Amino acid sequence: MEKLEGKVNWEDSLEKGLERSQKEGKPILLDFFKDG
Amino acid sequence: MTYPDLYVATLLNEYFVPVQVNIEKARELVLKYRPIWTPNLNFIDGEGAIFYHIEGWLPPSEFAALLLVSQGHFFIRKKQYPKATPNFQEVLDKFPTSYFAPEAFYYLGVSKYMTAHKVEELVESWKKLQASYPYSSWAMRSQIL
Repeated sequence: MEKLEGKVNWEDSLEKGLERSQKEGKPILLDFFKDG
Repeated sequence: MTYPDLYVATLLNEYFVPVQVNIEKARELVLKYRPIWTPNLNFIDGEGAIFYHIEGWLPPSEFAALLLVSQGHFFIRKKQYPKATPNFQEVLDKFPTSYFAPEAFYYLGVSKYMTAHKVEELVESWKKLQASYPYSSWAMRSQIL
């Protein structure tokens, strides 16, 4: 049976995230990642 | 992998604003939040202030529990205590063996107390915490009662 997968709708800047957070009343998850 | 998990992705998309940045390219954010190790997860309010932080990889079930706990902390930060209680209860109901379950128990008591100011509700939650997770750091912290 195939496992269902989801897709996270990431924002690529905190500026956009803060704007959305204030508008939607949601907390932000800021994930710092490193390639490789 | 954690992020493609359907439940994790659904929680993130519905209840959070997920932002992902490369630590080697986001110079200003690195100066502000000073991440050293990745994965580096920062839960931030609408003013840019961190209210919860964790480092390291988590499997989907632990990550889901983390999201529920952190959203509970977000409501506590905003003094919306009645909204926080169901988050912590959901962790205990869905993920009772999670690393985050003892913390959820601790703050379940806090959110109930802050909602109704009935000390007996705090004591009841913390006694259950001490009985259910006696070796957790959260049980230790609750022993002030």
